[in-house]
Amino acid sequence: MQQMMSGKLEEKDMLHTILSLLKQTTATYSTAVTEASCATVRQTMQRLFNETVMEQGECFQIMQRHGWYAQPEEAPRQAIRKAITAHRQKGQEISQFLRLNSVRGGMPNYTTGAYQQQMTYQPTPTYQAYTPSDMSAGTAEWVRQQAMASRHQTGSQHGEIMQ
Amino acid sequence: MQPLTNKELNYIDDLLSAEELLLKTCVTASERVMQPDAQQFLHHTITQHQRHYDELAHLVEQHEPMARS
Repeated sequence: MQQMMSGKLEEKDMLHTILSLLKQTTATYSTAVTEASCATVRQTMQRLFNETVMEQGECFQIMQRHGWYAQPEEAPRQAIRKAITAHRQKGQEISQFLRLNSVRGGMPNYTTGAYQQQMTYQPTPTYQAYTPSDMSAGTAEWVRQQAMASRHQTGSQHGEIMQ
Repeated sequence: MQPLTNKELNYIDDLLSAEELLLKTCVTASERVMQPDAQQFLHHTITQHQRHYDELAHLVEQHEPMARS
């Protein structure tokens, strides 16, 4: 009350200002990372992004702890169930898409616990690490087909322009 | 290390301003905040944004020698 009478920003308002500045800065860092050409610039931006986003999280937690941040409304179970049904159906469509394009593996199966196993993705440090032998025959074939298809497409486009 | 692009320089400029504003806001807030956890948090952010500012400025300086004249 006393703080309000002083006509200055309250403790809560100041933290709100900092939180929104942190959110804005995080967004700028995120774009800066994706727009960087120089590896040194990219690494620095990525590190500063991480630090800023961590700080934003801390700021939010402090505000929530003191009740300075309106508790966001919880999603009802009905809405969650609806989302589960929708993405399971979508998952099957994606699996079918992958099968049609002869990509092995398909989508993780959420019901059999195969999900955990399939998610152990090992990132490869550079693109050079990929050699044709790393790909399954199916994927290689798919890539070749895509390349052929796009070449054909550009070809016909050129044809139209020529005419 | 590659020469700095105009785009990179623009983003660094934007971020230097953002860091400056954050730093000043945190300093102002730290003079008035009462809660110990908020105090501690602001103390940490002040040091952090000072360093961010220096790192961004250093990034520009580092690229100066290889820039076209």
